Amino acid sequence: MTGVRFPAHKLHCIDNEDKRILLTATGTCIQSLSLNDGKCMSVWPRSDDTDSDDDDDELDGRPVKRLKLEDGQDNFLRRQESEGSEASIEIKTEGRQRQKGERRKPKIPDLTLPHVSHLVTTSDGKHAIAITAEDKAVRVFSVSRKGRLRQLSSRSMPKKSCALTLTADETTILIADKFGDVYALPLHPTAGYQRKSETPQVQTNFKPSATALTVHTKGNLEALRQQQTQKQIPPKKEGLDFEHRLLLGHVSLLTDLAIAQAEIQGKQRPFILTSDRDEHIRVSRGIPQAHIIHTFCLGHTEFVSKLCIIPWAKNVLVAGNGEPSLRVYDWQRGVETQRLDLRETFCRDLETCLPLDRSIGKLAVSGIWPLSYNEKSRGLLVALEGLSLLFVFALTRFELRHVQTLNLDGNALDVVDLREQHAVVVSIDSVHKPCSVKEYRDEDGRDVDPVQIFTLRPEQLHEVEAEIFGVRLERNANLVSFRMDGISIESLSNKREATGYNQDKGHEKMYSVLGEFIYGLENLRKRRGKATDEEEDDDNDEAAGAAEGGLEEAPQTA
Amino acid sequence: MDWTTHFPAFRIKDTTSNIPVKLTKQVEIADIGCGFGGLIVSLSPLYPETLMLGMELRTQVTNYVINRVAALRSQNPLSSGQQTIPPYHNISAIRSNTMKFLPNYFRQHQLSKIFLCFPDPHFKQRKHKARIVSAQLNAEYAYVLKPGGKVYTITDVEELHEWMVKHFEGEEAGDVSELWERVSQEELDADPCVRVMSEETEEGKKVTRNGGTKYIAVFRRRKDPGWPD
Repeated sequence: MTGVRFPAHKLHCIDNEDKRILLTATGTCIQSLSLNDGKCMSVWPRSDDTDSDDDDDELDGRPVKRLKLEDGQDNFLRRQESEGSEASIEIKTEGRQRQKGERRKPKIPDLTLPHVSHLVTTSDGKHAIAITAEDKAVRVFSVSRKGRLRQLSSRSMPKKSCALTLTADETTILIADKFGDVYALPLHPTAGYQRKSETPQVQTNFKPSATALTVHTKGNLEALRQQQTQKQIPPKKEGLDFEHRLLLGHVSLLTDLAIAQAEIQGKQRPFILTSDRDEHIRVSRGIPQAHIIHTFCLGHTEFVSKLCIIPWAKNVLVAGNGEPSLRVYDWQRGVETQRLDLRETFCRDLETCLPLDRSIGKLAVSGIWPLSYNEKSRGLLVALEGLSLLFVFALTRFELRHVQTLNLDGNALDVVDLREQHAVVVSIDSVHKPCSVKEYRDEDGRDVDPVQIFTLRPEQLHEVEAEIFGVRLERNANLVSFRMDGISIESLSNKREATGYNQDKGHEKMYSVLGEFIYGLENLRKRRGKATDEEEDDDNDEAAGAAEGGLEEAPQTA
Repeated sequence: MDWTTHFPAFRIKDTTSNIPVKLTKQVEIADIGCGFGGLIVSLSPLYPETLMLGMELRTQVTNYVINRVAALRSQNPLSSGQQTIPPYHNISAIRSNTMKFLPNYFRQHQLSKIFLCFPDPHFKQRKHKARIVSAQLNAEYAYVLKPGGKVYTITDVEELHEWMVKHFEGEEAGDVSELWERVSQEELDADPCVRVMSEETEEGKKVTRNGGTKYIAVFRRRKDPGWPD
């Protein structure tokens, strides 16, 4: 049986004078593919055991070793362990010598490799930043001319990360997490950083938080009783041992994070936009004033899933959600200028491409990508999770117009644009059947290209309004055909993991086991009308109701 | 959000127009975790022209407050000849999780006072994230409060009191502390709200009966600082 291969669920492209590389996150690996010939240049983590500092740029004669899991397994794992598990506990700079007396961390028996969940690069293409899901690690890499990634640092966050971006000057990493908090980390860990409270933990004797005179509810009495049985206060959990800063927080799971700029009193000022599961988009000032809330962009009746600031119209925010709809905002004023119900807009497309295992109302916007080739060729690509379609929109001042729908060979996962080539690269789900997030393909359906290319049709400028043009794209297999190393999920060494991915017919969840990793938006949906979730349900209706009112009298900000 | 059902006495009296009816004023005082409504009921006659909203998470308790207000209003009915609106028509309550949905109800700088009276202490360290005061949430209170507006806190749990103080203006507040300043004791002594908060709320009375201590801290919202240079 041919193995099921990991789809490339995240793409990022480095396209400048000395590097032309497509980085793809495929399961637990990051593959570097050449944009020139589509060949696989390098795979991280590498199977060869070079921990040295030599850059492969200088070692031209040596062929780039491929990941050979069958015989390189042991090495691969050992390396993974040292990079993954150990690094998740402390910052590890490669090549660093273990200090005298420093204890080797006990080996963690669980060899599960962490999945790469987020991937971005700096605009100069020198660094890549990835988040691995299971160990919550933020990893910073250098990217060599030959596409080789060398891990410079790994910092483990307290909670699972939901979104990752860089500040405008690219010196700071912003991370939004499942607890609703946004942290700022310097791109490179500060050398010699010491936790603030380095004082040895003195065990404090128990001091009850309340006296017998305190007024209590039953639950608090119980908590107090438990406190009393505990003789000593356990020492406070140690903080993170790298430089970081808590910028802001929602009391809700964060779903996306974006940075923006606007002119305030004649100066360009930074902003941070955060979206959450409870239908909010918050607009805060940028660092160092992220605690000052500028406004909110409200009105969603389902979780907000995606934020996109339009690069050529920086005052426009397009947000996608689980209704599913797209909403356009003048984000600085917190005013919604358009709401586009995707169910209505795409009834026709959805008929030809009906989700196999979900109703249309249970779809969510999984991606919004701006494309800008020149003033006359600009647009947005929008994907719904687990659908083999990409919707192309044009943007007139504050309104989206549907231009085209692209049919794909599989569910759209990620998109990057190749500006020079006037092309977009789309990674598709080669594992699940098109329009399914649960059913794997039959064996003969697996031979699909995991990455497809579309190019601009320049001869057909699409004028959606006077002087406003949208892009139209067409499939182009000739430009470059990417050849990825097959990261077969069965061949991954971890037995539990490998068998876990295999389709389980009795699986009753929304997603297949693999789908749970590459998708997952549906898990954000609140189950309405179920007795067990009454509380949440109420919250939800109330937010929707309150938001409706807010729209009539949109808040004015000075 | 239709406020006219909450405060019909303050509706704009214009029956000719088709536009949705609005209020002559907006809510200015919010009692977060209002419980059985003792605070807003006692404050109502003190500020008869100010709209106040109690917010409570428990559905049953909220319904009790709504019924209580309806009963008080029927005892103090509106009459057409009166110049002033009788008390209790300026208070109402809604069920809401304010930790999540505060900005859905109030606009930027809308409120002049927020009350956090005897909040759940959530003793366990693991549950501290559930406390109603945190550096993150204080940024939201600052958003809905107008500069000069105040957050009133009272508790009988000393540790929680210390927690709230240090999260508004102490070492745990981070940068958000620049938005808050603690109100002086002299000012508290002169503030009728402080007296009502400690003596007229149900929890306040209970603490008095038990002979417990009440810890009060009030914080004034400062103006937003300018953008950094």
